[in-house]
Amino acid sequence: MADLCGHTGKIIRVNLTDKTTTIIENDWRWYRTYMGGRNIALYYLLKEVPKNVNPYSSENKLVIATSFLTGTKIPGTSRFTVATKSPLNDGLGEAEAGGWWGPELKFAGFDGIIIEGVSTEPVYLWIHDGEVEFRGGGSIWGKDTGEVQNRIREELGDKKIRVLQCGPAGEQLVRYANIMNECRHFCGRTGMGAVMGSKKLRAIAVRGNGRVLVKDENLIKEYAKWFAQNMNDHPIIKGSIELGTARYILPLNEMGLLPTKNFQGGSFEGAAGISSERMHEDLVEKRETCYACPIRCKRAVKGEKPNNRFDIDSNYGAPEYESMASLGSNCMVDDVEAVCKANELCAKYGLDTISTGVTIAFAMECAEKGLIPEEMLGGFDLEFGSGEALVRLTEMIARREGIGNVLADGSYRAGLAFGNNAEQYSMSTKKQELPAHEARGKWGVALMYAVSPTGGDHLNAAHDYWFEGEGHPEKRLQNMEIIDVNDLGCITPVPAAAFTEEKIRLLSYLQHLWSMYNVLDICIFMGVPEYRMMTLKQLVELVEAVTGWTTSVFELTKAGERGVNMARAFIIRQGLTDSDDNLPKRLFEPLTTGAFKGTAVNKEAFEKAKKQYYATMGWDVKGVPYPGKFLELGIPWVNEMLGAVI
Amino acid sequence: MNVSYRVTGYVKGSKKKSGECRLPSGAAIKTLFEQIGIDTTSPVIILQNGKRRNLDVLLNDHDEIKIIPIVGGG
Repeated sequence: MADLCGHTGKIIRVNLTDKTTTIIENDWRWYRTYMGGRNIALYYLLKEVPKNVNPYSSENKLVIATSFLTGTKIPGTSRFTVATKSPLNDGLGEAEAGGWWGPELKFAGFDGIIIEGVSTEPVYLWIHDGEVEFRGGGSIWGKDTGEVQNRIREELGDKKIRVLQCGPAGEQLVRYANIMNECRHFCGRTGMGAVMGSKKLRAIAVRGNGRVLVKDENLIKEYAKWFAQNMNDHPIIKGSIELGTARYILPLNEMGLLPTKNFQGGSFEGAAGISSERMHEDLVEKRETCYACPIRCKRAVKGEKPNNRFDIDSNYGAPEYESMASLGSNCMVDDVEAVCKANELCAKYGLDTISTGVTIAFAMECAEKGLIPEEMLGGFDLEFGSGEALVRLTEMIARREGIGNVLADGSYRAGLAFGNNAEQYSMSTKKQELPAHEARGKWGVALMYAVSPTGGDHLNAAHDYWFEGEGHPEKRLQNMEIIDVNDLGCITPVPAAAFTEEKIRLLSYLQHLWSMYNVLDICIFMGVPEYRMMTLKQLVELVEAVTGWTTSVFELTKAGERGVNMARAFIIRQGLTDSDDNLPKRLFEPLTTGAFKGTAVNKEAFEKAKKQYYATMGWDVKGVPYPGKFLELGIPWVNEMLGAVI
Repeated sequence: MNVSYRVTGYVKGSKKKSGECRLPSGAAIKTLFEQIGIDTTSPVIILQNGKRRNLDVLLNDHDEIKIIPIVGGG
């Protein structure tokens, strides 16, 4: 392992059934092939998780992985990946988070953890400076996330311990329960908190006094200094500094792309009430950040009665854009305090804010249409626009109480439980709720929603508006680039609300690129083309400075493509097919409000685009990668996992 | 000529969210940006009387200009 820089060379295998741990040491060729994050996680999931596994069985595994960049001083490299078989989409569960836990795992001497088996009693793991211990979790089981974090730190006698945990919602097997660190950095989507809860593993505490070994410390220091000195000149990074991601509410509303009333409309009259500008008036207590990042795009909000209508604990952070829109405009709630309270409850119990908001909006629509059987509704007054209903229902979902018990299985399964074909109003793909981006005005997003291996996900590729070509200002700042895909060889503008062959090509490149950022566990705000502060040239230099390799954009994006194809192989093994690459019916029907009123995704054009996308990716007409694709990517063993012969 | 403008959301350099500007005839949208302090590298959608435009398009008297930052993801 002496040749490895960036990685520690050690992955822990934890068996919860027999309470054993073993250390896996892979050689440098393995690390250079898979690199980190989603690729390391997918490697073990594909090799070790059986076909059609029950996500809550002892055979399912939860894999946590960092990259060689995690824990270096490069801004935006605090991230790590968690992946498993998802109880929400029945395919791949995967999410990345920033914060502080990933770097601390590296400082403790490990690149990742493979969690297998099921414990008979609640436990937590304590990982410190190369050691791994199983600790009794009886005293923290059932407790709020904030309390669990405090208790673990007290019990182990170190306030600097970083705690990764599922919440009470994970214990209750809410299908969209999340996993978090520091109570405010979330591996939000696909219900991985429920898998952690099913294994009776409530938390993983880490602490390390080591450091990440890098080849050229000086180059990294110089880059971090340059970054801090120049970030205020970058027009988009500057927006993140000033107002965080919730600043998207007003522009997306103006563009007619803000999901409203369970995606019936694209514009919300009460948008100003849930804007970042409104939140900053009297709720924002402070700015927060992730390890080694000077941007500080996070916020923490505080509410205290009687000045506020809700007590809101600032330890649980503040709503990001996705949370604000999913819990706010999509439920037609224009009360920023109610949205901040619902967001706080999601963090306190461990719920994904997107699926929570979209599932509540779905329930509100079903209640309005009279589709919920009275015995399920239990007299609950579920009206669009009710902040009180939003807050109360969030808590009921986390606790699986009353109607909350039905909604805890997600909008699609709740629709099936209601009957009356109510599932047609579930705004989900692969049973995972759509994030807060109205796709009828940006069809590339619609296609990515459909083909995403995890279901509704806005982070598979950049959104169409960046590449229309109209209205773009000069694209280059000194030493910085924004909205520039020319260096990918994409030089023709593509219209947003349409499918073109050039758009399909661009999307396939972007998907590989975005996957690369999840392999390297880099924050999208640093690297992806539309936000790019870190250029591709800088990325190559930084990877070389960390690892000591001589690398290229080609090698790094091929690693991203490896991730896309391993993810596809995993969901095929779990029984998903091309018929799961679909959209909710509503996206093929006209929007009712906003700048795109009357616009729908054209079904025929969508089906053609899907086939073109498969072909562009090197997949057959059913969306199965040709065996040659895995040969070309240097991972022919995946063909065996799919039963393919070449 | 007089041109009115409205900025929705955060755009770097923009001090006022809306107003009127007096500009020489033949001025382009870029001139308006410079006059109201908006960073011309900011990625924005520009609507001239409701139609999508770029910075080089010429302005007319009584034009209504909307400036919306492009956002997505996050």
